[in-house]
Amino acid sequence: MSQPLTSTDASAAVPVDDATSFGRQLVALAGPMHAFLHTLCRGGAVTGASVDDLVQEVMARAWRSRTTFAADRGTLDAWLSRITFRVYLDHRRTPAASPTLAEEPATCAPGPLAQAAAREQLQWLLGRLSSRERGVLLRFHRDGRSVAELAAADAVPTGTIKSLLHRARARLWAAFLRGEQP
Amino acid sequence: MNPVLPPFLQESFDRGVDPLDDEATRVWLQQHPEHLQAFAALRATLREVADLPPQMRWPRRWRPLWFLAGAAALLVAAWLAASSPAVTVLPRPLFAPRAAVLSITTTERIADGTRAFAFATVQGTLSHKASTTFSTCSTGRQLPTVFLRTTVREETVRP
Repeated sequence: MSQPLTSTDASAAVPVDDATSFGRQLVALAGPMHAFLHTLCRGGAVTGASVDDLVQEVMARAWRSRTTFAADRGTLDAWLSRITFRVYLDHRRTPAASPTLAEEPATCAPGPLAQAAAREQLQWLLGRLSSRERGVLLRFHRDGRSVAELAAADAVPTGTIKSLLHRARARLWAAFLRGEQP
Repeated sequence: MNPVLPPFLQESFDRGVDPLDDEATRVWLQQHPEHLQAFAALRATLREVADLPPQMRWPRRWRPLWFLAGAAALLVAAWLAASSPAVTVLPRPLFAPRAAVLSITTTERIADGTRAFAFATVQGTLSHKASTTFSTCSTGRQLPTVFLRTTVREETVRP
């Protein structure tokens, strides 16, 4: 399927063998997309759907738009990640659309085991930062103190605090890009 | 893959807002799906930092410099041990076999910094010994502190 198709009737355009193979590849990526959605939900909850619901929606959307996938323009993983991200954005709880009592509460809260694993990984990640970087990161993101407050408390320029914060986040970012695990 | 966190993401976090509230960030992320996973993980991590208890222990960072310094110190120690001269083993006195000893004379002299000294002699055979001691008094003049003990053992053996 190197040639992207424009027809909306994808099932008629894609040969049955290719469609079956594509479907198998989608199913194989359901697990990673579930994990990806779970991570997105940890960063910001969704309303009215569980992670399982979102995975279903991702798979349905991917199947419907399977003719837009072109292997020469990227991997199936990246293509599906983009669809997953869009599904998450559609369901993300935004400040403008705060939940009402009638809405179903978000059910993507992790279980105790997942929580423990996430806490362990978080501790491991923060433990890799220098004590200064970690201290500034914690006071900013945990204690909710501003850059100016931290600069005044430590008697350093705000640029120093920002530099430490940025370095700490960049270290975490690099660790995630490399897929490092404890 | 570029490990540098884009500045606009840093600025969003600096402002304390969700980067996904920004349309430009959402567009950028969809154009760079290879960064989606890392972004989601970073956003989740920074969100969860807020739930950490104030008192928390952190594992020590593994510092390659310390490790290298330790390894270098071990190498230097090993090199010094290998390059030092071998310990000289004193020659063992050629004592006669026990059955061949006819008589023994052991003389011991002890001197200290006061110039006084003691002299003791033990004389006899293996079964019978007689000792003689002799000592002097101090002259009262203090010399540099030297303690000297000399032991001489003589054996008379069968030819």
